Amino acid sequence: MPGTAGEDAQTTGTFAALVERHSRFVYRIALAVARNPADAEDAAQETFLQVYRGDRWKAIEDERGYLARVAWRLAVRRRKPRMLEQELPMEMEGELRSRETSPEQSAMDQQLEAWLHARIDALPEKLRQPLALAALGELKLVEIAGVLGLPEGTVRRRIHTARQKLKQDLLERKGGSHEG
Amino acid sequence: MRDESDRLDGLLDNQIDGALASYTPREPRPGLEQRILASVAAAEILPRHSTWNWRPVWTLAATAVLLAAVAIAVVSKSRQPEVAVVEHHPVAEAHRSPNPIAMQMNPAPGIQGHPARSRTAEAEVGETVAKARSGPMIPLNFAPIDVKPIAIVPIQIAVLN
Repeated sequence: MPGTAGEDAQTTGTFAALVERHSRFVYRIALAVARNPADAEDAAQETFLQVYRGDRWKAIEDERGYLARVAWRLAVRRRKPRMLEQELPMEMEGELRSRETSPEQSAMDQQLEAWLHARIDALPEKLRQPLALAALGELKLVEIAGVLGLPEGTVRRRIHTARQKLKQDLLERKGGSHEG
Repeated sequence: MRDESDRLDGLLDNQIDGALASYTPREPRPGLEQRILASVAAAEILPRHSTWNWRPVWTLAATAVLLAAVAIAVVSKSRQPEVAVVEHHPVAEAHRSPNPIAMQMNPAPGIQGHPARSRTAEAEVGETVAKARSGPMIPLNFAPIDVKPIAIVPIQIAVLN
């Protein structure tokens, strides 16, 4: 049929554009939940595959919100039993630092960050996930609530609770107490 | 005091924000888009093949195996020759009684036979011999024996006067 090849090319081009626009975002959503780059990439691929099948992507109004929900759900399924130590490799952590500090300060900062990442990983999932999604800096509070399927007030409260627990852990590590 | 508390609180918040900013790396491995498109393309091709109905294929395969087994059984059976045990030997033919085994099984009047033998056993033996004679003959590997009849000489008892 003469028009089929042209329609297929247009469809493919449009879907490829969707992938180009949101693949990084979807990957980061999945990584915030799965904490494993391989699982996050698998979840991202599966997200776009699910969206592609049935031509759902043609009818999406809020692309980011829809993709974030699908990616989050798939990443939660892949989330392996959590460990207290970091799941991301240390070399990835080192590449992210671009601060102009002394080597000693840089080493102390790295150690503190690594410790804090382990404490974030140790949080209960209902506190960790909203905190991790908020930390991406790409989702508003109402969008995070939509992804998690929770009221906005609940998400705000859980993020606050998570931060308070981390502060308490920091104070205990420093050997002090926080009275506020 | 409160200022000190607020300052400490601010410091903790900064440290937590710094850790959260690096908690999830910003960039994935290079080529993520291409990998996603490739996986979608591959997944879309695969289901077309997996919709094949494999049941007829397995049925055909099972039927072929059965037919092969039957054919092998038939061929192997047709190659087995029917072998008879006894041959009609010319010497034995001359001296053979109509039913030698039956004669042994049925002794002459006055001579006591084995009390355990029955007419059923005699019939079975007779049938076996008849069957052996009916098939093709196979030469036996022993030299013919001249069987001479045994002369029965009556015993004469001298009477003393």
